[in-house]
Order: sequence, then C-alpha cells, then structure tokens
Amino acid sequence: MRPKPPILLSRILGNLPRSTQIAIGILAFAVVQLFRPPNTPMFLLSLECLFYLGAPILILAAFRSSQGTSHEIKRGNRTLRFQLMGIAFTCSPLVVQIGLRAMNFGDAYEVVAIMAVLNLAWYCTILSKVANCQNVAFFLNSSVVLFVCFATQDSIVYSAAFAYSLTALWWMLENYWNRLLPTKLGAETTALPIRGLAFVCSIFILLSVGIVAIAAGPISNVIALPSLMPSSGGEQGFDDMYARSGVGDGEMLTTGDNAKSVGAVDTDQFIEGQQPSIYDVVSEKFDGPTKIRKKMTSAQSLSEIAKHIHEVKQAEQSGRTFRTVRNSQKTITRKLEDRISDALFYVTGKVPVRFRVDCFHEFDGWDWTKSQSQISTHHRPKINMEVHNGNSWFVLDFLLPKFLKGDLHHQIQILRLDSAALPSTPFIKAWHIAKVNQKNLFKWDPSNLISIRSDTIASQTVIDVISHRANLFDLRAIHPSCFRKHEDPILTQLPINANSTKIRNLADSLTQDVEPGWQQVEAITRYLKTHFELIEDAAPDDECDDTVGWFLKNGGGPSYLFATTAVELLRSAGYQTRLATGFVVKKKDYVRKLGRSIVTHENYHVWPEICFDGCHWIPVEPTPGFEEPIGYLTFWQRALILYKTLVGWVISHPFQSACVLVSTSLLCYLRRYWIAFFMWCLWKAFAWGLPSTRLRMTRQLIDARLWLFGVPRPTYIAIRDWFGKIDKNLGDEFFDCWNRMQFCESIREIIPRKQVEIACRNIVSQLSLAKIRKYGQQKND
Amino acid sequence: MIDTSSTADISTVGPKLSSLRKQLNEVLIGKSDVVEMIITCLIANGHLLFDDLPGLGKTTVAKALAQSMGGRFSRVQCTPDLLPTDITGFNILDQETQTFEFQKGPVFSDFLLADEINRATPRTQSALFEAMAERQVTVDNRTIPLPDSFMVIATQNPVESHGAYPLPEAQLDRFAMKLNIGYPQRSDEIMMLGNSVGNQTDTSPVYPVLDLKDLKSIQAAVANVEVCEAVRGYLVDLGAATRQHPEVELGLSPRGLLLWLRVAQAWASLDNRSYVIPEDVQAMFFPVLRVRVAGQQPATDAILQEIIESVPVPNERMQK
Repeated sequence: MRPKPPILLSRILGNLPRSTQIAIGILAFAVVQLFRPPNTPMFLLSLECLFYLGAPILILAAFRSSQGTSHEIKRGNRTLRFQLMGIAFTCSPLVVQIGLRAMNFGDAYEVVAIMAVLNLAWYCTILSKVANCQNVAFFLNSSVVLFVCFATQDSIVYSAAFAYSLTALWWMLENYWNRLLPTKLGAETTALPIRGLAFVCSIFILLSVGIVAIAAGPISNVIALPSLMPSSGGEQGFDDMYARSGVGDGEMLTTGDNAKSVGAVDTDQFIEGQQPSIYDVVSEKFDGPTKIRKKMTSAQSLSEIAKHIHEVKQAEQSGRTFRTVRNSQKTITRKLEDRISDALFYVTGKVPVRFRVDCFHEFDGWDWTKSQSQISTHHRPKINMEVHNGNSWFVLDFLLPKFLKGDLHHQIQILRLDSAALPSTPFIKAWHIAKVNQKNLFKWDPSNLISIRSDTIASQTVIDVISHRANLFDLRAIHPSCFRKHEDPILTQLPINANSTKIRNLADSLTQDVEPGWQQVEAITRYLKTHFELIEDAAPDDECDDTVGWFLKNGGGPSYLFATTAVELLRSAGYQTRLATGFVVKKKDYVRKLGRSIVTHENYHVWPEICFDGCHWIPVEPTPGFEEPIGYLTFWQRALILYKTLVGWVISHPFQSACVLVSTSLLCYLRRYWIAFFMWCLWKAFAWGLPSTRLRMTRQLIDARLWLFGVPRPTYIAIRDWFGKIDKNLGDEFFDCWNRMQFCESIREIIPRKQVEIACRNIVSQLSLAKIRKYGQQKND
Repeated sequence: MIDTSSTADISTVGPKLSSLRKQLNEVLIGKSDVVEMIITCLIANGHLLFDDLPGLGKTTVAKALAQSMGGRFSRVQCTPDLLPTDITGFNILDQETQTFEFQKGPVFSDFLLADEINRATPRTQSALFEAMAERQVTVDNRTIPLPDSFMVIATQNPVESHGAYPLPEAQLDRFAMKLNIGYPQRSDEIMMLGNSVGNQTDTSPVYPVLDLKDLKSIQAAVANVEVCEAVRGYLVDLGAATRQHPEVELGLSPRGLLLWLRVAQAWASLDNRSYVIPEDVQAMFFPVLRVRVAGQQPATDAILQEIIESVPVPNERMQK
C-alpha cells in the first residue's frame, strides 16, 4: 500500500493544498506587515487588509462574469483580461503610493516593491487552480519572506517567518509527495517509513537552520549588500528626514535620539585613546612637515629666528598652516598611540562622501595659510534652528542654487577627532546633534567652516547631517560669471616664483578651446587626473622653493600636491579657489557587519574647492583614484549619457559596430533556430531527470518547436493528434509512456527510465526541426 | 456496486469482442467506425439511438446486435396508436383463479429494439423512462426489475415529420449515444450488392457470439477502467462548456456526464488500456453530445466543435 501524503493541515484548512497555499500567502503578508515601519498609518494597514480580503472575491467574480465559468481559469485559459488584472493587481501598490505621497504619506521604495511582489503572489494564490500558479505564488512569497528576514533583525518578524516556513514545508510535502516516493513501484514502498522519514527530515532541517541562525548571530542577518537597497529607509516613511540613501541603509540606521552610542565604541580602548588633532592626522597620513628654514635674513638675530620657528611650529600644530613640503615616510614618531583602532569617526549613509574639516586660502609656494577672505566673511548663511519630530535641527539659510537638488543624509559618530570644526559635507544644508537645542553653540570660524564653540567636539557625539546633491548637468549649464561674482583677490592670487608663468600658460592651454564655466574646471582636473600619478611617498626636498613646479616636473605626488597644483591652475584660469582638507570615505571603508563606514587617518584627503556665487564652495577632484564629488545625475541624464556613449562608440568603432549589427541581425533572423537549439541543449542537459520530468520536457521541447515554426498545437488538441499530423509514421512509445505517466496513477511509476529515455529520443529525432519547418511551410502556404 | 469477482481483464476484452465485431462488420459493410461505437455503447451498458435516413441499415444493425447476444430480444414497432402497456405489459383477469395476472410486455428482455421510436406518442415514449434509467418497470404499484444487461436500441427517422413526435429531452438524456450511419462508400455498396446475389435475405446470417455472462464481466471490467482527476476535470469542463454556450439551450446533465465517462472507459478498454486519456473523451464527444445537447436551433456539429475547442485538453495530471 502506498503511503498517503500528510494532509493534516489541509484537513484543518479545508482538505485542499490550495488552502495551505492561502495560509502561506496570508503568513507572507503578515511577515511584510511586521517588517514595515511601526508608524505606518493605521488606515493604510486597514486598506491593505481589506484589499487582501476583498480581492479574491472581486477577481473570481470578474472572471465568472466575463467567462461565465471558473473552469476556464482552472484550465489555464490565460485571456487578456486575466493578464490585465494581474498587472493591475501588481501595480496597485504603486498607484496607492502615488496617491499617498501626494498626501505626504507613503512607504519607502523597497517596501512598495515588496508589496507589489506580494500582491502578485496573492493574485497567483487566488488563481491557484491555474496550472503552475501555486508554484509561482510559493516562489514569490518565499522570496519576499527571505528578503525581509535578511533585511531585519526583529524577532517578531522571525517568528512569523518561522511559521511561514513551517506551513511552506508542509505544502511542499503535500505537493511533492509523490516525488519523495521511489521512482519504481517495483520496490517495496511500504518498507520505507516515508511519512516518518519526511517528518524527521523536516525537523532536522528546521533545527539545523535554527542552530546556524543562532550561531551566526543576529548581526549576520542584517548585512546589507552595497547598493542592494538603493533608496530610502528611515522610520517615518519616504519623507523621513532621517532617511538616507545608499550603502548602509535600512534597519541598521540609527537616527536621532536612538543614536547616542552604538556598539563597541563604548569600550575603553576607544574612549581612553589619545585624541588626535587634524595635525596628527595629517602627519599620520603624509608624515610631518620638514624642518623650518628659509624666510630668514641673515641680519635677523638668533632670538628672532627662535621666535619665528616657534610661531611656525605653533601655526602648523594648531592647523593654521599646511605645509606642502613634508618629510619622507617613517621619520617621525607616530602621534596615534592607540593602535587598537584607528577609527576617528563613523559614518552611516551613502558613500563615497567627503567631509570638510579645514580650508586654506593663501599659498606662498611652500605653505598654505588661512586668511580672512572677504567672500567668506560677507556671504556666510545664517544658522537657524528648526524643530522636527521633537529634534532640533540647525539649518543654513541660503538661496538654493539651481544645480543643487535633493537631499543626502549622513550620520557621523565622532570617536577621537580633536577638532572644533563640524565635519561637513560639501553642500551642507542642516545638522542635528541629540540634546543640542541652542544655535549659538555653533559659529562660523575664520576659514568659513561651521564649528562648535568649544575646543573640540566631544567623543561619542552623533551628528546627523543633511546636505544637497549637486547635479553635474546643471552645473555645466551655469553661466561662467557665477564663478566670478564677489571677486576676492586672495582667492585668485598665485605665488610669485619661477613657475607662475608656466602655470598660467598651462592653464591657458588647457582652457583655450573649452567653453568657459564648469567645463574648464573639468578640463583642468581631467588633465591632472590623466597625466599625473598619485605617489603617496613622494615629496619635494627641503630645498624646493616651488612645490607645484616640483610636482609638474616629477609627474606625480601625494594628493595635497595634486590639490595645490589644481588650485594654482584654476586660479590662473580665473576661478576663485581654495584648498580644502578633510576626509573622503570610499566604498571600501564600509563595514557590512557594522552597517557603517569607518574613517581613519587613511581617509584624510586634500582637494580644491571653487567659489560659486560668493557663498557656495564646489569641490573638485584632481587626484586620480578618487571619485568625482559631483556625480549626481537624474535617470534621464544617465540615459542620455549612455545614449551618447553608445553613439560615440558606434561612430568610433565602425568595424565592431558592423559586426554587432550583422550578428544581431543574424540572431534575429535565425532566432527560431537558436531558441530551438537552446531548448534542445536544456533538454539534453536534464537527461538525468525523473521520467515524468523527462517526458514533460520532451513534450515542451516539441511544442516549442511547433510554436517557433508557426504551427503551435491548439490547446484543445491532444499531443498525439497534433504531433501525428507532422509525421504520420510516429511511433506510439512516447505517447504510451506519456499517457501512462500523466493519466494513469496506478502504474505510473512502473515505466522504466530507460524506456522513457528511448521514447523521448525517438520522438525528438522523428519530429526534427526540418520536418516541422516543412510542415509549417506547407500549412502556411 | 460492481461485482469484481466476475470482472474480465482488460486485455481479454478485445478478443472476446472480436467475433461480435466481425459479425457486425459483415452486416454493416464499410462502417467499422460505427460498429466500434455500437460495441462501445454495448460494453458501457448504455442505450443506443440510431438517427438517420431510411434504408441505411439502422434496424438491420440494431437487430443484428441484439441477435448476436445470447439474451432475450424483443422488438417494438412504434406507431402512433401504440400504448404504454404495449411496451411495459398489463394485468389481466385470470378467469380461473379470479386474480389479476401480469402479462409482461416486450420491455422484459435483454435487448429491446424500439424501431421508429419517434412515431410513438410521447405518452408511449414515456413508458421507457423508468426502464431505461433504473432498469425496472412499475405497473399498478408493482415494481418489476429488468435484467442488468437491459439495453434499448432505438431508431428514428429525422426526415419525416408527419405522424412523428420528437423525443423529449428527458428521453434523449437516457440514451448513451446517438449514431449516424451515413451512406456507404461506392466500393462497399458494390460489395453489398455482390453479397446479396444468390442469397434470399439481404444480410448475412447472424448468430449469438457473446453470451450475457461474458458481456456482464466485460461491463464490469469497463467500469473499473481508471479515470484520473485531470481527465475527470476535462470531462466536467466540457460539460460546463455545453451549459455556457449561448446557442445551447440545455446543456449536459450530470447523468449525461456519468454516461460519457462510462463510454470513454469503454472506448479505452477497446484500445486495451486500463486508463482513460483525454483522447477517449474527445472520441466520444460527438456521439454522446449529439443526443443530448438541445438548443434553439438543432445542435449541429459546428456548435459542438466550438464547444470542444473552447476547453484546453489537459496535458498533464493535476497536481494534488
């Protein structure tokens, strides 16, 4: 006697596998609902629940009214209405979201996408009597649940997912029960305790998964792959001020008051470490400045010399100057004594990103020094304070230029950075620090940076920063005069040395045929990026009077020399430029397990910034190996670039283009043959499959061939009748095997695999492509 | 309940029926497909209606079928003055015993040939309702069972309308299938004429070649032929399609579905198969549906073709 399938759950739910499928659909819905942000509006939840309950009735009623019978659905009659309803059903969350967003509600994009998939799964569940719909629904539901499990660490979601997996396992047991049995009935099937075996295996699998999950810990379940969730997150829906984009998003995002301290940073090894100043960081990255020399006349007394040396040292160490002539590597004592961790601060949010911590305006060919720039002092935006959701936000009040669009959200957790300057993104718009609600705590420092009225920002301070994104296309469209407004001579002056003329000539040659404006800036930076090499260790010697000249002659150097050269070239071209220093966080700095990026002295970087409209500083990147700071493009702009690139490639590669065209044309012309060949390869590859699978694949292969050559088998004609029209001498082996396998339950498994294989091969060879094509031509003629 | 103790093996069905097939083919020359249908109806234990023009051999083949079996055979020539009691029988007073004695009518036989059935009045036609559906006859509150192998073979002439009464739907629904014989081919007619030369009768002599016991065992074997869920679903879908077709007034009844299932089983067994495939269902579609699909206009084969084309044939068994 054959063991019966486990139908306990089906009996409870209505003695049908479809009932189990419906239970699976409802559980998947529950998993997603639990995954959604807790503050999802109740009316939205109610609407979706109503939708889930009402949709089956509506769909089935619609089909009954149109076709008059559900049997056609059952038989797989995929009418246009069937497909249109499926599309409408799937897209309904998107439509709802458009409406909700108009009302300032709505979910993040990921949740909307999940809901769309879930709806499609539910649609398939409702129509689960249609062939394969159950499998599709099961696959979609499982994908959604799996995704949610990887994107959360909520135990309630895990519990619901566990219930889902139990139900799904049961459904699979019911659905694929026959496959668990031996292939041939000749074996003593009763000797195998199939039911018990399946039950034990199920428990074993579940336990194993559970043990692995516990051993791996919850942290392993919240790994976000780079760019896996390309949009939003946050807790307030799509419009959340805390929401942010890109790498490290999602549930790991700790925002606002929740982000006082995170993880291991509370341990002593971080807190008690010596806090490095920016000077230490620069020294760690590029080594210390060379010994003080020069700028002395022989007439000066020793005490004056000593005094001068002391002042210069003090200026360097306090960060007021930045020397472009530095020692070679490993010649100084490291200032960062805490070698357990180099982390200066953590960053959560989209990377790559750069944080400005300092800037310099005057350059004498050797040292960069800060200066009271007129532009800096006259056009500083006012700092206002606004309260959002009970949190105080400090917002810069300035007129938004056309090229700034959208928001970027980052969170910085200061660990050991000894600096009063707020690490700020290039186009900072607003910032928030927990419990800080006085705007006079912040000020503009002389170098036009926002800093705190204190010596340093305290360790463990969490700063939320919102900044604008600059659009490259809009920037290119800006009138060149905007870069020359409120001209400040300090920002365009060049050091007087032997190379100043050479620099001017170089700048002229680089910009003479280029449209004024941002294109010229790009031309200069592109030249530096493509013609010079980043050599971190290289540095001019002590005797060097002109570091830029040395850089141009040497063909490369460290990043601060790239930046310095770029500043000189840009100033020569007439653009008001300054030198900014700070940290560039790259994609490689993102630590998936922590869900954030770690910033160390290695991230220290120097770059030029160009003044726009007197109050905005646009970063440019002349150093190779660093991503462009202005990289934001809209979808259509990207599409346009792609199109132009494609057209350019076609024009520049005529031979290759012709080859691609010819091969594509051939592929199109011979599409029937290569599709048929591909299917035949698949059929060959799965020769080891079960006899029933083999027969099904053979039938599908021949049906596909018939379809490709214009004689598709009508759905109401049995395979023997239709295949027989093509070849009157077809043998009966395949059809006998097929009929026995498909329509005879009692002797289905008796068919030997070898017999099935021979029958399949025979019919595939008999109904060859040539024969089918000939028949198709005859019929169409 | 099917008595499986006397069930024949499917593989023996063909040989047992070969003599019958041969004899009927000799009687109805060149109509082997019709003969197969007749045998199918016989082993499916259904009633058969021949509907065709005069002189095509309806009565001859019906008579030959009945005579080929070893059972009792009765014939009723239906006329407008035929009474129900002429078919079922009646009670007469026995003068000696002064009691009523039931005189059995022609219905009490194994095979009843109702010739020109549409010439009987509806009242008389109705006398066969109970006999055909339940295989019993009730007269004067007395129910008398008929033999298990009871089969009605009726003929009707669709052309003549004078003095004819169309069979009611309820009556039609009791027939398993309706067969059209059609004109024979030229060569078959030449052969038929050749056979008649030198013979006093027009047809070949017919002898009993299958006894009722064998027939019963074959019918039991047919009932045991396996029908999987996919094929059952296909049958139901086709039945539903007849009810949904706008030009069909009265679709297939559940009784019709059951009869269709049985003839499909019989057709499968004639092919030496112990299971039914969709092709069996399709093969029986026209004979079974012609008899019972009634519409505003005559249920033509075109309508039936539309119906069969509206339902996809199951390619694979339904997943449980």
